[in-house]
Amino acid sequence: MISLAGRDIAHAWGKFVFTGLGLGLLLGVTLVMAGVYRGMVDDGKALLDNSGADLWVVQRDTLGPYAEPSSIADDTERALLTMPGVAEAANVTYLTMQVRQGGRDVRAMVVGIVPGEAWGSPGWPPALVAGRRVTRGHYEAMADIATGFGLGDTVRIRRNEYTVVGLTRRMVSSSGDPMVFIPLRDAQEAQFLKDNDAIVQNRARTAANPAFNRPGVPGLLPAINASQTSSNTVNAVLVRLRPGADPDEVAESVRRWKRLTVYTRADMEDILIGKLIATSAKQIGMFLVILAAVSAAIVAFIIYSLTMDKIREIAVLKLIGTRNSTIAWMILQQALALGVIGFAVGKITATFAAPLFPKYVLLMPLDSVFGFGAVLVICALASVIAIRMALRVDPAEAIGG
Amino acid sequence: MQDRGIHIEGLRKRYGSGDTAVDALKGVNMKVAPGEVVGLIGPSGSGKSTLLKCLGAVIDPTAGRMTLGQEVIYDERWQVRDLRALRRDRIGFVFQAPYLIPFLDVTDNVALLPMLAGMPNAQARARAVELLTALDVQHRAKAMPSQLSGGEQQRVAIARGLVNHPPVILADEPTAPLDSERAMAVIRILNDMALRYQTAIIVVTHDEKIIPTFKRIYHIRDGVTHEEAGEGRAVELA
Amino acid sequence: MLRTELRADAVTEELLAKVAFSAVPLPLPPIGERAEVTVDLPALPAGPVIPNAAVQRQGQQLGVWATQGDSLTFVSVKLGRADLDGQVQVLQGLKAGDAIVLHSEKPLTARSRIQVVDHIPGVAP
Repeated sequence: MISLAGRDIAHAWGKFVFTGLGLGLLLGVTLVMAGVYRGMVDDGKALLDNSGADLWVVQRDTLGPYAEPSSIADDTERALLTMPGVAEAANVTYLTMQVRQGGRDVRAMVVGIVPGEAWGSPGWPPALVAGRRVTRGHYEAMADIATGFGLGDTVRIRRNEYTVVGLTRRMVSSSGDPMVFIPLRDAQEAQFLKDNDAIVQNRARTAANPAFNRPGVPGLLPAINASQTSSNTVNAVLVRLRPGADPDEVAESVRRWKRLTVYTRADMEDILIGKLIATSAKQIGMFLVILAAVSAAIVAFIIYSLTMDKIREIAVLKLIGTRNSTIAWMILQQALALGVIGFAVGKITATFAAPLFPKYVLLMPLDSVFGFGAVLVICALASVIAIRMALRVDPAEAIGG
Repeated sequence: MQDRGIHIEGLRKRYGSGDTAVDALKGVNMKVAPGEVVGLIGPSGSGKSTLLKCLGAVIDPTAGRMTLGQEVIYDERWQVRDLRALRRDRIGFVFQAPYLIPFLDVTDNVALLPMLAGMPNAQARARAVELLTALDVQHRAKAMPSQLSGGEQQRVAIARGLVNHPPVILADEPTAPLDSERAMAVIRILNDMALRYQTAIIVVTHDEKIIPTFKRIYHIRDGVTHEEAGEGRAVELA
Repeated sequence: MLRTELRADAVTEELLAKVAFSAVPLPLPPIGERAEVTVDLPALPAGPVIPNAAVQRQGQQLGVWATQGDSLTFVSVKLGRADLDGQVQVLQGLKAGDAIVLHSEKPLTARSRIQVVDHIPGVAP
């Protein structure tokens, strides 16, 4: 027995290849979309892993520091160091903003870390791909290569300029923005201090206020101005625990005794992936469903059209004694072949397009396997219409009039 | 040969029921011996197609009896379970149009039937070539149907009808689209094949050119057949 | 450096120091302006130094990843002074000539498979 499907495909190979290409591009987009979702989840996990923290201590009743803004005093760090189970605690600030370099602006997450010989403190990037770690207390930065900055570049963050001394890889925020690490004091200034005009106007306002500007208390006004322009707030304290300490236990005692909100690694993952990414995940999910439906429609249409072209021959085949199952199998095979071609084209397209996509696309082999299975199922279902039509053909129709 | 030849007695076919019933066949009797080529002539609406469809086992008659050689295939109801296999193995079809499968080459178009019956590919193809040679079209064995002339395609179609050596062939207006010379060629071939393979051939036609060649003709009108002797004119060789 | 004060700040744990100019810059910088002061300490005896990018953490331990061919081992080190150019003194744990990992594409673990290259691909030197 010869393969009827194979012969038919060889005979109409142009149609097949073109449809396969079109289908393949659609499937490629689908795979990239799935990869975008995986990339977002991976970004979230990378963020948590690279922070080197076991606990995140944030402002009470906030989902900070990534999902919501959070502000706590910077001496909280010292209080936390005294708690049992805590090995290290480090202040950290996060601010997503535009960082200027040369003529261009890059959107980055500026992370303020405690400078000095804090090798491997929570908040510091664990490994560099070039350069060295920040040594000076001001005006030096480490940047992720996704910013496009190189070693020695000067970048401008708010009021100051920083020299890039080290480069990292895959240090990104949960929304995929690359990170730039600068000393904590500079970052606090960047986040909480205003520009010159605002400061001058604020001083004028304070001076105009008789409560602050008392002639009998000469030191009051300068003290108030100083307190307004100094910044002692950070977004979070990252805590690393002693080996053997239970994160939940320590978190609970911090909550109770320091009256702050504390999240463990598991909690943070929940927040990032459950809340932050959830909307995007839904959007991508909907998109995938639509793409699957469109792919199914295309396959159904093409297979239907190919079958319709052959309807006379199918009647004759049935008349001269071909089994219904042989005919159905021929149509099904064609649909599956289309799926295989489409998936191959799609996978190749996705692999080449992924690095060019503005967001991080993570293509996992499991997704490809699952996607291939789904494509085959969709093609099989899409062929049902054509198969039903072919089976309904009355062989008597071949005998005319 | 005992297992060949076709015999039909009192065949009836009613479409619909009650008030809207139409009796397409009202008691048809036909008998064709192995090696005979008979004509079946009638105006449209006479029940020609219905008769052909009953003989071809694609519709169910309402009553009557059909015998193929020694085997009763229909007696008030089908006596054979697998009608499709019956069509495949024991009935050959030749249509107005060749209806060759466009994506198979000439040999495979003919070899398809024995392959469907389970014959190994090489053997089926050898059998196909045998028939193509008998029909003098073996030089086109590897061509695709679209590359053949109308006459060549028709011959391939006849080869397909014969390939399983069926006891009966039903030919439905096989010469309708052909000119006089080609029509004669087809009739000559059918006669040759009938004799060679001892096949009973029923040719449904209204083609004036070939009617004189039949020795026996069945006229069908209003669902009933009348047998008549034909001229039996010798087929002029081209 | 003129002198360091005797009093320390309890919170910041810092000492106040008074700095004087050896050569007074002209024109004088305005009063109240912030200056960055780098203090040169007396030179230390020669000893092995490593770039600070090589310093890694395993749990509480500071150390470096030492390579032997393709295999990785974490070697604990005791670090001394660090300078502003990113070099840090190694007091204990390594000797001159040991091969260590400087930059890596991802944070390493004992089970990481490595390929030693001159430059990390995708990063301009």
